[in-house]
Parts: sequence; C-alpha cells; structure tokens
Amino acid sequence: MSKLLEIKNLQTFFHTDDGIAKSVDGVSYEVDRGETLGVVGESGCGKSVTALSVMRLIPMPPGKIEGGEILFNGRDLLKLTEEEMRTIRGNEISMIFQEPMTSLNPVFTIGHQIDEAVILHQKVSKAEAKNRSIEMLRLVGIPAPEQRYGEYPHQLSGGMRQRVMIAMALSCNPQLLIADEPTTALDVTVQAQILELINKLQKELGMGVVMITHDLGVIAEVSDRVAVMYGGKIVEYSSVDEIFHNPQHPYTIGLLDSIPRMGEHHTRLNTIEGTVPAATSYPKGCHFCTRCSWADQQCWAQEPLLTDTGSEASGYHYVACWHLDRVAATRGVEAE
Amino acid sequence: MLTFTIRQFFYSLLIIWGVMTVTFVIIRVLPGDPARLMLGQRADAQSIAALRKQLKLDEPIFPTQYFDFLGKAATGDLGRSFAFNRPVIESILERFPKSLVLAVPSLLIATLIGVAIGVYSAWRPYTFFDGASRVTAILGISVPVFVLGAVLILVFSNWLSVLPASGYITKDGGTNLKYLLLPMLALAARPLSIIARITRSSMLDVLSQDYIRTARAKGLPVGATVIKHALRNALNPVVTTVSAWLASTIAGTFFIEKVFAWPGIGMLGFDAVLQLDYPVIQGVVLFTAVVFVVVNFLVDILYSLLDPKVRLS
Repeated sequence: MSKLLEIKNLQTFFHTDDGIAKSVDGVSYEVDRGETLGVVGESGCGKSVTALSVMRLIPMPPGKIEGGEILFNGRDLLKLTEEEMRTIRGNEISMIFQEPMTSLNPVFTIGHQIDEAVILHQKVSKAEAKNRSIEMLRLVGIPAPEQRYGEYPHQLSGGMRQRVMIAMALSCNPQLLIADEPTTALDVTVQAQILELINKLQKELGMGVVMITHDLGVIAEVSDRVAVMYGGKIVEYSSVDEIFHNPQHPYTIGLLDSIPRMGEHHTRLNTIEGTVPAATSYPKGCHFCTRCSWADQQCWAQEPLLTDTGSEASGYHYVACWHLDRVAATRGVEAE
Repeated sequence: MLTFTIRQFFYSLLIIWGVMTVTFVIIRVLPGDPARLMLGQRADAQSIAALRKQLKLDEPIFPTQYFDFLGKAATGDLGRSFAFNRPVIESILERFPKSLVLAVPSLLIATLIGVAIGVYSAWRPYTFFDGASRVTAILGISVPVFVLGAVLILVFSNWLSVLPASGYITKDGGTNLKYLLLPMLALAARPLSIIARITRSSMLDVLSQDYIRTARAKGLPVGATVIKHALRNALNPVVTTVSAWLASTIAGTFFIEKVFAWPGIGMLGFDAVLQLDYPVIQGVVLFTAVVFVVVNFLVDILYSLLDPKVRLS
C-alpha cells in the first residue's frame, strides 16, 4: 500500500523582479497514516511553501512548481486538474494556518464557514451540515456550540478562532492535516491546548499530520519524525529522538543550542550568527555555509547531498553536510 | 443605534443650515441686480424700485431677508421664483423626477459595469484587460463631462445620426430611451471609471487576505471565492464611492443637463444662476443638500448591513 503523502524532489520557485527565488529546491519527505511529521526551520526556509505546494495553493504567477512529485495515496497531485484538486482540498487534505485572527472571513458567521466545507464535499443538506458543524465545534472544545455557530469571527478570541479553523479543517474527516504554525500566534497555555487537541483528534481519526513550526518545543511534543529545513532544502531528517539527542547538522545543532534550558545559567542566549540569505541569492554550495563556523571552500563550491548516516540502532538519519566528522569531533570536545 | 441615529439627525440639520447660509450669502455677494436683469437695460429707476419692493429686495439682507428665508424654508416654503412667478418648490418637484430618470439608471450602470470591470481587473491583474481598463478609466476621470457630452453628440448625432442630440420629449409627447442614452453615457463615464478603480484596488487588497486562502483551502472554486468571499469584503469603499456619486449625480448634473437640454433640476439651477433668480438658486441648493444628507444617512444604514462588526456594536 502506498504511503499517505510522499513528496519527491519538489521544486517550487518564485519568479520575482530580483531573479528566481528557489524557495523550495529538491525537498522530499513522507508522512503515513496516524503519523506526525514535524517540519522545522526559520522564516523563509520554504516549509510553508512546501505545504502550500501540496495544496496547490501557490500563487501563480509569480510562483511555479517546477519539478518533483507529490504523491498522495500514490496519486501525483501535480498531475491533477484544478477541478480534481478541489475535491481533495478541504476534503482529503486540510490545512490550518498561522493567523487565526485573519484566517476567517469577517462577514460570515463561523457556522456558515464550516457549513460551506461540509456542503461542498459531503453533498448534504443545510440542516445536516449545521448538525455536523455544531458537532465539530463541540469536538474542538468550544463551549455552547449551538450559540457560537451563529456568531461572527470578531466575537471570538484568537484561541477560539483557531479551534474554529481546526473544526473546519476536520469537518470532512481528512486523511492528512497540514498545520502551518497553528500555535505561533497564541498564548502559551492556549498553545498547549491546541496541540493536545490536534494530537487527540489525530488519534481518533487516524490522520497523518504535517506540523510546520519554528518552535522546537512543539516539535518535541507532537512529532514522530522531523525534517529540518534551511534555505529551501532539508538539511537533516530523522526520528524525533535522533534529532534531539544526536543532532548532526551544524544548523540543527545551532537551533537546539539556542533553546534556553532549565537550570542552566545564561547571561545571553546562544544564537546562530548572521541572517538567512535571500532566496534569490543562495550560495552555490551548501546554503548554510554563510553562517556555519565549520564551513570551508568545499562548502561554498559544492552542494552536500542528503545521505543516510544512521546505524542499525538509530535507524534512518539523513544529513546534508560535508564535515560531519569535524562537527562531531568539536561537539565531542564541547560535551567533555 | 438610536442615539447614533438621533445624533446623525442633528448633524444633518446643522449641515443643511450651513449650506443655506453659505448659499444665501454667496448669491447676494454676486454682482448684479435681479430686478434690473428682469426688466432689461432700458427700465427706469422707478419701476426697478417698485419691483425691488415687490420682491422684498429692498429690505435689509440681515436680519429680515435671512430669517424670512430660513423661517419659510423650515415650513417647506422656498419662496416664489422671480422669473416664473411660481412657487420654487413646484418647479423643483416638477424637474426633480426628470433628473432622477437620468441619474439613477446612469449610476446603476456605472456601478454594475464599474464593479464588474474592477473585479475582473483585480482577479487578473497586469493583464491586457487590466491595462486597457486602467487607461480608459483615467480618460473617463479626466475628461470633463461637458466635453464628453459634446463629443458624444458630435459622434452619435452629427456623424452617425443614430441618436438625438438633445431634448427629452418626442414629438408625440412621450419620452424615449433614445433621448436618455447619450446623457446617461456622459453622466456615467466618470463614476464608472472611479468605481472600477476603487473596486480593483479594494479587491486586490482583499484577495491577498488570509481568509481568501482559507476559502481556497476549503476546496471552494475560484469563482465562489472571488464573488462570495472577496467581493463582500471589498464592497465598503465601493459603497462609499457610489453613495457620494449618487448624491452628486442626482443633484449636480448641471452641465450634462445643459449640454443635452435635459429639463431636470440641474438645468433649473443653471438657468436660475444666469437670471439671478435668488429663490430658485436657494431652493435648488437647499434641495440638493437635503438629497445629499438623506442619501448619506441611508448609506450609513447600508454599511451596517454589510459589516457585522458595525451591525452588532
């Protein structure tokens, strides 16, 4: 049986006035039923563009999916017509977004907005759709759902609106849920509730989840495996345990080092020096070389490929770096 | 909502009072004597004085004439026309429907076509259609209406001879769509252009909103997204524009009515200015102000229907 979602060598470019922005350049990952893949990286690393490519919601122009395959249950989504794609969006694959405050249409009641998806995909009557919507609102933990059904987005708090978005996304029992920074705009306590909710619903419904975030805490909490992205590419890809306990790519190491830990005394937090280069002007070799303290001429000239460095004990562990030995050696010294 | 309405009502009264006062002052500052104008150049001083007395122009402008005007206007009496010697209100009520016949369809067409063009331009920005509509709109905005009117007459009446150049009533007494077409077109050009531009920019803004992405992610077809989810949100500035134009189209078609000899309220006002017919000028301006205020009041209510945030607060 084919995997739920398999992205193979996806390339999504934006043709801008400043040149071609290779926002996603050769990304591959997969998610299976009941599984959560965490995709982590800084703003602009291509994690959201990858997700929007799966939904085929890249604004075209200026964007264009230039190459690769997106297999969903073995079917290449890139080969479907817009018509066929519409029956998948919101139905088999759903997405929730980072901005709960602005993701709902201000002029329609939340009930109407959930109904819309239900009526569109389940071909049910308005009354049935309403029942379904209220049931979904209850499922995502919105108190007094019958009353909330008739309310407008501005009458709800951010956390409530994100719950509405989740209710909408799950209203048609999707097989895959793409959550693009679903908790970034929310209070920490609400964040935890939303993550718990997604986790719980995933177990109940057996969906695959792609959790996109820049928050390693979120990744640690919900993911089965992790793809670390930088500059439009995946730089490290492994199980969540491996990523947190045996990080190998300098970027992943930098990310983990920048998290403050309980009990450690810091005067300043660790940071990764420099900033992400513009997507129109990535270096020719490794995209991280401009900020990497291990980088040498080879890194600037040649692109490292994602290779499996895993052992039998650790399982698969893909890393794209020329200097794993040196990085590991320095780490070893630091650890001692 | 009730206090809002009451406050709005008092503001409206204040505006109307201001307009009345300003008009009253301006037309009296204008050079020229209505009595002399009516009697002609050769009239002797005695008959002019008699007429001035009859028209009450010999009384002090302030306070007698001013309060006389305000007081009577409050009861709906706008005085008698110097030139026609009939109640001003009668003239206005007779001419106003004719202005409406011209203004309402004209603005309706401007709105429908303008919004359609704007929506399509925003949906497919930077295409040939968008560019062409932009150029046409700039033309439509910058060409004065009387020039456009004259050009339309030249092309359709003089050269092509398909439409009448001016007038309102056919020989057998009825009116005809043929007469309406050219002035309507001339009158629609500017609001249409502006509405198209405003709709386009408002739609472009809305189409980049997150909730449009949500609607698409739900699986809605592009058409439903654009028309239902985007247009509703893009309409506010359009409603503002249309309402501003509605009032000024109904009330301010002076040039168009003159060019096409359309006997509406605009032409009434235009002729009154030439004849220094004070009561008619005052009456037309006052009436116009009232139309403005009423239309704006209705638009405020329309906003609340469009925007749940306004409705529920």
